[in-house]
Amino acid sequence: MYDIKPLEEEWKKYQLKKRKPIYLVLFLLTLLIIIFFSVLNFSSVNKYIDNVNNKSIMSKKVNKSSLLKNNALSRLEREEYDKNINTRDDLTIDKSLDVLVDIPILDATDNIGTNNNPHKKIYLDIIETSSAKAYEDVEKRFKQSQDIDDALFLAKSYYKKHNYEKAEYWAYEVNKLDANLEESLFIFVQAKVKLGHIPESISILKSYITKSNSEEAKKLLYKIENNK
Amino acid sequence: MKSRYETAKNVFIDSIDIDDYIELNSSVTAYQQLQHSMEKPLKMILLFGRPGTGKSILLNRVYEKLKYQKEIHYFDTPAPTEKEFFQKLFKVLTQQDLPKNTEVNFSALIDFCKNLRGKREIVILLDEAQMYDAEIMEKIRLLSDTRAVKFVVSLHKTEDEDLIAKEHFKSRIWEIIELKNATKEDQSAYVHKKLLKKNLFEIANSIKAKDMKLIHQFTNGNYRECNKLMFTIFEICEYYDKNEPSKINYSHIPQKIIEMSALKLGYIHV
Repeated sequence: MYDIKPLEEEWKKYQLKKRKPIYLVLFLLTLLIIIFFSVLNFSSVNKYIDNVNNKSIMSKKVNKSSLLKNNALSRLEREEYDKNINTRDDLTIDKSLDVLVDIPILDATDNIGTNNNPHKKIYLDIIETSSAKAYEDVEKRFKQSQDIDDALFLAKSYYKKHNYEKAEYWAYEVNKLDANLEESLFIFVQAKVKLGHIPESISILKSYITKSNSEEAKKLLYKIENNK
Repeated sequence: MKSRYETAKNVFIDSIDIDDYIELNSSVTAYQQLQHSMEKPLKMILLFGRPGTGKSILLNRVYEKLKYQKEIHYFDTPAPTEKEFFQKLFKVLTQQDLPKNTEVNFSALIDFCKNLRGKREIVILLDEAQMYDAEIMEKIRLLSDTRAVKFVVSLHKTEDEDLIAKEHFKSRIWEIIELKNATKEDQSAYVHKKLLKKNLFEIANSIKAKDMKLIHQFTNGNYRECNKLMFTIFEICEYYDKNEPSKINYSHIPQKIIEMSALKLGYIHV
């Protein structure tokens, strides 16, 4: 009788060897497809998460609207930004009260007036660089997206970098998008103080206090009036 | 009960039996070329080709076809010694046995051949000539120079080229006929004709063009290798037919069996 079994086994091994390149190519193709779709899904999920985050931030801000019933800065004219007034260097503010002096650009524990409003996206975007190019990128992005987080980030960053004109400009941009955000109002007022627009700053703050009765705003007003 | 594949298997037992000769386009051409060369006043004809390309069966075919028309002799197996070779040659030329305890005087044999010129025309078919040593081949050449004896020398084409063909006969051989491995079409015709010759129509029909492509790939168109492979294929088929009929498809030979045969014969390896 013909001993066929060993030959069959050998043939199975041969088949495996013959198909090895095909299996390898299939495996690589599958891997590539998986990687491709993973990347695709990851970016979609990221976009989705960003959208959800933006919505929740916005909704939180809307909830805070009880603080600012009226747009405190609505009366501010855009031309104010273009006025050339010398910076007032002698203006000092008590650090324990000043909510702007220690604006932490890269610090996620930022609590200025928005205890429940983390700007995670900003920190994520910028965490790898602090170059001027990064700020330009955020500015460009803002022009397209009109994202309030980007504008707020720029306002805070420019303030910290002592670029008060730009800080004022971006705080104003934030206010245009969300008139109820106290944080942007404080940056705006503080920048004005630094630029020497003290009476105007006081006027804005008083107007805001009338509407909101904000304790933080009162403290800031006290500091400005007493030149602290 | 006898398996249908048993007969098919035996069709491919390698032989040079004239009954197994298959007329293919290439073999007909080679046959005609050889016959035509033999009619010319040539001293020597070299039939050249790799083992298994059909040299022996062609010589046999020529011998069988012409043996009643010409004085033709077929030396299918080389003589082990020079003495035995010339004894054999002596008998062919003189038509007499060499007396016992005597040896052929080569000079006398040459003279004898010279005397035959114009009287007889003798053709000697020398198969497996690569097995003759250079001295015998030189003497064969001298005999052919008499023009009374014509030699058709068949030898293998080897990798390092034949010394015999190159050195001793190159200038003297007047015609070289080279046999090559079969093309896919020729090999396919060969297999089918062989089976049809034994009335195995269904089995012939079960070997498809795709199978023949694989067979040609494994055997490189070599007839001897093809015979070996076909024999093994039908041997395996026979086993399955007898023992595991569920594993065999009578309408076509499974590729698995062709590959198993190739593995068994070492054409492919794991």
